[in-house]
Formats: sequence, structure tokens, C-alpha cells
Amino acid sequence: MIHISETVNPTGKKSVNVAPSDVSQIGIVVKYDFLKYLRSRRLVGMLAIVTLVLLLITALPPLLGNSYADDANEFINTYASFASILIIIGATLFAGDAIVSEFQNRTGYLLFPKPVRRWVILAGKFLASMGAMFLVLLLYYGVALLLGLAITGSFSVLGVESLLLAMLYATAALSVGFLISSVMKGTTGAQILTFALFLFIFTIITGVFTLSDVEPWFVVTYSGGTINYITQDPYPTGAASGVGPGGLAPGAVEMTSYYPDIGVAIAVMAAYALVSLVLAYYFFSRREMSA
Amino acid sequence: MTNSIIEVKDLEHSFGDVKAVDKVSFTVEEGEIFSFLGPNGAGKSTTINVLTTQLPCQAGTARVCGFDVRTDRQSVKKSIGIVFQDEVLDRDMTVRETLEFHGRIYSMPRSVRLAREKELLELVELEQKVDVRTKHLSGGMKRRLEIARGLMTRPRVLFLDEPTIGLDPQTRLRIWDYIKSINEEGTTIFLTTHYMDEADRLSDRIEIIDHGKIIVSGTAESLKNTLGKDMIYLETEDDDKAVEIARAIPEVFQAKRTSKGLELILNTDGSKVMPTVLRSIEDVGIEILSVKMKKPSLDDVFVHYTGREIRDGPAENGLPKLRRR
Repeated sequence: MIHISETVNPTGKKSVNVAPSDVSQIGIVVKYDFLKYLRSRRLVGMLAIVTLVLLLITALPPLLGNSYADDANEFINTYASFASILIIIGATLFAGDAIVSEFQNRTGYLLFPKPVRRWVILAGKFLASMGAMFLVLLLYYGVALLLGLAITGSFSVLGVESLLLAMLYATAALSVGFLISSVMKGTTGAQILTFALFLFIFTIITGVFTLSDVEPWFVVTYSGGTINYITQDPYPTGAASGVGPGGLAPGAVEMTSYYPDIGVAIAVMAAYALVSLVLAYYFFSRREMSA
Repeated sequence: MTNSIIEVKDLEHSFGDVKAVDKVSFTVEEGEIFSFLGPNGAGKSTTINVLTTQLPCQAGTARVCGFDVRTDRQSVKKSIGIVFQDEVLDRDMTVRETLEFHGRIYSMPRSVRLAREKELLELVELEQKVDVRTKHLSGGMKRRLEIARGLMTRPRVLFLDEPTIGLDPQTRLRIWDYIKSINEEGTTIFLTTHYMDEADRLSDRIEIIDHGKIIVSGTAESLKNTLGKDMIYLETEDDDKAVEIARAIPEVFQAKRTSKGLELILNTDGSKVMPTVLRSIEDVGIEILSVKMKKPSLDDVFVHYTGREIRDGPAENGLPKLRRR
């Protein structure tokens, strides 16, 4: 005999179900998406990469007969220079397919029919990806800062500032990843594009503008350079000219190196984060499951 | 006085040049089990997807629980539950987490959620699998879990899109019992199926849809009654001639050739007409190869109105034209 419990629906009323508040729903989406990062081993994989990078940076210098830097900021600079690539990998893993997979794998049918607004789903997924990314960065910088303290005997405050900039850059990278994911049709394409955009395309754009003596202040990866530069004391400023490949030979190209202004870089990264996320929501909210 | 919980008028939906749903109109009364019957590709799932706001309402109107699917999607979503035709499970969630997530997103109180989880896991016999990730479940187990999830919130209208596909007969019977039970408690059931026995056993009312259009509607009994009291199926060595002879017999309401022989629809007791039919055919020297008599079933209704078996592909050439309502 099948037993049916007394309550007709969650509210106890026989009519319309009442969904929890948007904030509460965001929390539920965050929890389960974060759980998925753990279960799918993406987060574990990312932490393994972080561990490997830390091991290589820390173990290789003494093995090659080099000594560590005496200054804490100089020590942390080596670690900070690899933070960008970790962020790119993280954005690819945590954001590259965040939206498109719901359509391609049809898991959108899990959420879309429920009384959950699209912006709630987007916010929940984005916060989960931020959580995963920040966990990775905190671990990476945490170990690096502690190593710096142990080896140099002083704590790098600039290292903490680098961490904060890295978190902002990561937020921007995740937003761009979500934007790509909301317009692409396949998960693989979305992830490849996210990775290629940050690793090659933005870099090429930066290079072309630099060669044309135009500061590429509007490129997010250029702004992301602050993660590394901030650990240099004093912070490099202005444009420095030099001679490019070919030395002083006839026809050698004179190159100008630009250093992003901290304030401008923060504004650019924040703008990328905000605009990309708004656009991601625009496309996501208009996207329908195909039959 | 009737109270329509679903009202659909001139609903249309196309995928490119293909019109999947073509000016479909129907109503579903509160508290009934309503079945949409049709072969694969008939337009059943597209209609469900529009009614559950998964696809946009391109033309026509549709209201669910009084809410317009075009303008009040959130209210529609709050009022319904769905079990989709395709597998929709998160591979990395466990069985318990799948139900828990659903219950939490609908804000079910913890005690109610836990009780419902236990009850449903028992129903679909997955109590032993609560901590297993869905990717490790068999196809039948996944289906049973999806049904349990659709029933978690006991919604006003539960949409079941081919709910028992891939299930063993025993589980199907248990699911049917459960569907009946929740329907008796007041939940309206909108069922699509291509299992005739499922529609026959569960439905208060049936609409048969094919090529995006509703062909006929009514209760299972009334639909079967349109085919007369009994049906006789014959195979002879000359079906063309035999069908002409059968048409001349007054008790034969309708006689037609099918791909397998002759189909005679009678308006009286078949056991009394059978000797006359057999004698009339044999008297002109046509050998009868096989005879079968039965009461009309929903299968017969479907073949009668669509001209094809429900699991068939496109209509066979030479069969009667579809009768449109």
C-alpha cells in the first residue's frame, strides 16, 4: 500500500508553491554548483596545478644552485608572475562552460522549469565560480606569503596587494568566461575560446598597440599585469623606450614598454567584470532550450 | 460547473520550417488525468515544453493555473511539476541530493522534505541507492528518480512526458498507482504517452495528436465506442474482393483493407455476426486464412484515426487519409 504524506505541497496550501527568496535561492545554487566543482574534480585538478607550480617555483632555484631573494617583495614577485596563468586556467575550468553546458548537456531542465529567475541562476553560478577561484588564489598566495616569511624573515604587504589585484582580475576573467559561455553553442568551443582569448588574443592586441606606441590600457590582460608589477618596489611607471630585436643594427625597431597605472587598471578590470556579466545575463536570459 | 486549469487556444510552434504544433486547442479540467496520445514527433513534447515555459509561445494562447505562459512564466513555474521525456539529472549529484536540491529550491520545510524523500525513494525502490551518484544508476533507476523528483512538491499540475519509458512492468504499475493516488488528492495530471495501455488505464480524458494537430478527443470508452461494439480482423486469399463482400453485410458498420488484411467494425455483438461474415466470404470461393475478434482498444482507435500503428514512422501509402477534427 502506497502511503501519501499529508502535506499537499511545501506550503501546506493546495494552490501555488512558494519559492524561497532570491537570495536564499542564490545560496542553494552556489552550494550545489560548488559541490559539482568538487565532484567533477575540477577544483581538485586546479589545486593540483597550484601545488605543482608552488613546488616548481620553490624547489627549482636551490636545485639549480641559485639562492632565494632576500627581500620579501622580491621573493613574492616570482610567485605573482605566475598568478595570471593560474587565473586563466581557473576561468577556463570554472566559467568557460558554466552556462553553455546547461544547454548542451540539457541540465538546464533541472533549473529552468523551477521558479528560479535567470539572474538568480547566473548569480549563483558566478558566485560559486568566484568561490572556487578565490580558494585557489588564497591557497596559492597564502603558501607563497608564508614561504616568503619563513625564508626572508619579513612579510610582503605588496604580496597581499597583489592577491587583491589577482582577485579582481580573476573576477573580470570569470565574467568574460561567463559571457563567452552564454553565447557559445558548445562547451569545448567556449572553454577553448576563453583560454585562447586570455592567453593569445588579448596578448596579441596588447603587442600590436604597443608596437604602434599606443598604450593598451583598455585590454584586461594588460591591466592584469599589475598583479606582478605591484610587488616591485618602486612600482614601474611611465613609458620606457628601448631597442627591439636586432640591437643597434640598421632597421632595428624601437619598442616602448608601458606599465599600467594602478587606478586605471582597477577601473578597467572592474569594468570588464561588470559589463561582461551584464551582457552574459542579457544573452542567458534570452536563450531557450531547443526541443 | 467545470474549472479549467489548462486552457490552450490555437497554439502554434515551429522549428524553422517544421510546424511541430499547428493550431492546437484544448482544455484540461482541474483534478483530471488528461492524456496526450501520439507517436514520436507528433507534437506532444513541444506542447508540454510551451505549457511549462521551456519554449516560447509563438502563436495562440496558453494559460496554466490561470497564468499566461507568455507573460507570467514564474507563476506558471511555481504551480507545476515536470518529468521530462529525456534524462535530466546532474551526473555528479547523489540520489538524495537530487531530491534535496529540488525540495530546497521550492522551500519545502525540512521535516516535510525528508518525509517526502523517504516516501518517494521507497516508492521508486531507490532506498538502497540514496548515496549513489546518478551517473552510476541504471537507465531504469534514473527514470524512477526523475519521477520521484517530479512528485516531490506535489504541484497543482504535474506534467509527465512519457514517464514510464524504459521501466519494467512492475515499476510501471507502481508508478501508475502513485499517479492515481496523487491525482485523487487533487493534483491534475497532464500525461503524454505512446503507451496505449497507460493512457487507457489512467486517463479521464484523451486527446490524440498527430502531425501537430489534434485528431480526436474524448474518454477512453467514448473513443473506443466510436469503433462500434466489436472488431473482426480477417486475412483471406483475396482481401480486395472480401472487403467488398463484407461491406454488403448490414451489421458491418465499416470494412476496410489494412496492411495485414481486413478490419471490420461491427455495430452489434460480433459473435452473432461472425458466422454470417465467414459464410458470405467462403460462399464466393475465397479462402479465409485467419480470423480474430476483439473489443476495440485504444490501439484500434489510434490506427483508425491516424492510419498507422503508434510506433510506426510516417503513415503508410494507401492507408486511409487522416481524419482531422
